[in-house]
Amino acid sequence: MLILNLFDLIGEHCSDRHESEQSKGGSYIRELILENWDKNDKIVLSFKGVKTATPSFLDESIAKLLLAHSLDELKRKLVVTDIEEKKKIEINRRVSFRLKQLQDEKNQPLHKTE
Amino acid sequence: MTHQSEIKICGRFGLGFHGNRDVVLECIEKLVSVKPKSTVKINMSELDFIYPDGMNILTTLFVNLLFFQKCSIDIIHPQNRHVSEYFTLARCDAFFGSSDIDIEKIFKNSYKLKNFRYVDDYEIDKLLKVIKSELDFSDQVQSDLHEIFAELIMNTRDHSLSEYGCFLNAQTYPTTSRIRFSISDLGIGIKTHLSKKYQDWQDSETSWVIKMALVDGVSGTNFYNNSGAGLHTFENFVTCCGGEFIILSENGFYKKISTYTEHFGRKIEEEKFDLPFFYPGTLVCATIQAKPGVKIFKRDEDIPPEYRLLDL
Repeated sequence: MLILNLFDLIGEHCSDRHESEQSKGGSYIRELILENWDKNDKIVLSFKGVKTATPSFLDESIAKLLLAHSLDELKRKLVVTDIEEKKKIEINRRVSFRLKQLQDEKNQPLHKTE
Repeated sequence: MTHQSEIKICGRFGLGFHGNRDVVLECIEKLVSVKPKSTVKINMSELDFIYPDGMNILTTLFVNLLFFQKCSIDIIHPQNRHVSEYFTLARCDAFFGSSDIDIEKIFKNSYKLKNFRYVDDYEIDKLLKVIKSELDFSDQVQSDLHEIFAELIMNTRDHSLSEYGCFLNAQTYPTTSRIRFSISDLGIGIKTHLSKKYQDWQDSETSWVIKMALVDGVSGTNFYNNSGAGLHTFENFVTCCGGEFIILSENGFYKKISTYTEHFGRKIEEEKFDLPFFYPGTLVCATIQAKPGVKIFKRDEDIPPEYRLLDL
């Protein structure tokens, strides 16, 4: 099991999609998750100490994982901890948009892998 | 160079709450109608009160005149020393490098106009510190404000393609517990940006397109790079807090007011119209109530269960 602590990796403000002069962005977290995907049965993403997580950051780091893996694979692999309900809703919102857009692109109904 | 007639800036300069909207729009129209490569005299002697959005508007129009239209500007400075100082310092800092004078020490409830080219969390924290020193609001609202500033800065970087980044400033009004903030850029404008993806919108009213930009997920960028969440998050925040926001982009004007009373509950009013002139870029400004008990809700009933990653 791999634990990714966002506070240690990014800081108290997880704001930007991409790396800036000041900090690493959501794309860095997504790449870390993807690099470690096959090496770990579970990947824990901890929001402990994080004050700000913008919708764009959550989209880039978590929702865009759907470009590589299905929702069911994400559910099995990813554990999101120490997070308030409002941010959970925002993650679900970003995930739902990505899924709908992918579906529109493929023009086929959502499939479950199981 | 040809010489233009003098343009007077009105005494109370701001589009939003307590501003002087119609007169300010007339001033903007005159400033955007100046012929390229001409000399223009801008008379600010009567300028007595400038709001954050007014500051952004004048900065945007001055940058447009100086750098895009290649005009020369003669400025008659405001007679009001307070405004003159505020204006000079803020402009100085935005264009000509950091000023040695710390404006926050002079104007305790003001965050000076600042140029952002990326999401600078340190600067956003500094801005929020200025706001919080004067007003009492929860840590949750502070964190939401941080998110909104970050999202709006990302919007200007990723969508407007403005080479000057964006300008952000804010002011608190402790006696009425209000925060007013404003962000502007000199980029391609909301309609031009969205019409790249939604081509049918090219023939629509600009103010209607601005309204559509507030819908979650609407973005002109290829969806692999974007989510269209920025303006929606901003709108939700202002609506929950209570207050108003204005978006001025190209020739579109959009305003939304959210008020809450115990007796009538939440009331939302909207105003939108197209202007007879084009503003060079986009201005987003808001005035919000900063009450300690305010809660920012995120709705999730429209997310189908099979599209959810996390259980609540």
